[in-house]
Amino acid sequence: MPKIKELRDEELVEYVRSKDQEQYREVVARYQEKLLRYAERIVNDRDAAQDTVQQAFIKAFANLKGFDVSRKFSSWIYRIVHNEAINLLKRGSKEVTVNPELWQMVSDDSDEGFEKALEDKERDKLLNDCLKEIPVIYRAPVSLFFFDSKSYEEISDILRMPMGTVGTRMKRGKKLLKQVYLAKARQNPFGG
Amino acid sequence: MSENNQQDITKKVMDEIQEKGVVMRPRWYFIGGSILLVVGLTFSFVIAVFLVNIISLRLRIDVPFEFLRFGRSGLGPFLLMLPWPFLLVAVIAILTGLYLLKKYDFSYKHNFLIIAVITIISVFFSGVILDWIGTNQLLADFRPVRGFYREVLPGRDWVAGEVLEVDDNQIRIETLQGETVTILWDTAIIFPTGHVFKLGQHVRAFGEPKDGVLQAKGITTSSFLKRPTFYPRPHRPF
Repeated sequence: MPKIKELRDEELVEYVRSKDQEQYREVVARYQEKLLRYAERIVNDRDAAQDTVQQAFIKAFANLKGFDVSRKFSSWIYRIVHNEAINLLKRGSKEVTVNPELWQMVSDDSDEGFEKALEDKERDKLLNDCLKEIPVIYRAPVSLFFFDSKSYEEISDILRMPMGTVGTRMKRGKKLLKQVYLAKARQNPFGG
Repeated sequence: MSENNQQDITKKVMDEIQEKGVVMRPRWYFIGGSILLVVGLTFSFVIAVFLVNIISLRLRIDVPFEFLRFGRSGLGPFLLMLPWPFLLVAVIAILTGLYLLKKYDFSYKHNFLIIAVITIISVFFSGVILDWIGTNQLLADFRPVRGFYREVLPGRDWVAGEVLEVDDNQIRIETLQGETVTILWDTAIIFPTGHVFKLGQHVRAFGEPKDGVLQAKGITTSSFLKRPTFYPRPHRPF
């Protein structure tokens, strides 16, 4: 028996589906935390996110033999979670809508302060607070890029959209985030 | 996330798999799905190309656009002569093909609108070229589709041929199939190219066929294309 912990994701999947299905436990353990956080950022609800991830893992298990091991497993499993989360949003109409005034505020001007903020160590908190205010079509790529460190190509695979569209949505998503950030800063200039 | 919470999700997932008896779908399920996808895609586009080829043939033979010369009153026959059922099925086949194409992994990596436009243009040109290179002549003798060519293709409500006799308010013509047809008209007739006909002139008339006579609504001199030799005789005798 190979050392399960040392196997790459794709090798582990091959092992699970051909030799020992019980080792699917390790697949779940590897991804549950990341996927739960991603789902929570999409559905904005911890309990719903947990249900989403659980159902995604069950679906992934049932379809594991359909996974092409020459591809990245992480993109595949993220894709399933993303679909589940979007279905949940559609069912519950939990999608946020952006204030039209906010859209008008989106400009092409760069804001060095905001860009810098995205790069520093406080960016996670900043993004977490602002992310839930923007539509999911922008929230998903921005979230995958900043929180899950996915490349544009991986985001393209997960969200099933051309790289150009990923780039466009990232750009608009960042602009929206900036405006949300500035709006929050104006509302609460002293922080906290 | 706490260690307990992590274990909780893993446990819940593994328990649910066991309790509900979730099983992995077999590999053939996915292979079968891929094969069906390829077959469906191929079938859709073959159907679409074939029907575009038939539409091209019909437009070449029936020349429905010639009836635009009759002005507003020619619109009815023009619309009647357009091969709507073929058009409709061709559009459905293309839409089905595009839907299946969207399911392919490569399709999302490119702008699907461009893929769709390229596909539609390819289907259109493939169909037209198929007609131009004489595929229909070959297929017309092919037993499985011979009936289709004989029953479905004949034009309706029009006749074309060479003028044999000219009389008051009527002419007799010989069609390319060698049949003799009498064309009658009254004051409501339209002559977009004039009402003086000469012997040997080629004309095309549309109207209501009845008992070997065409009660014409419009007659025009025509530079119609020669009918392909395989083209079946009109199902309504003139």
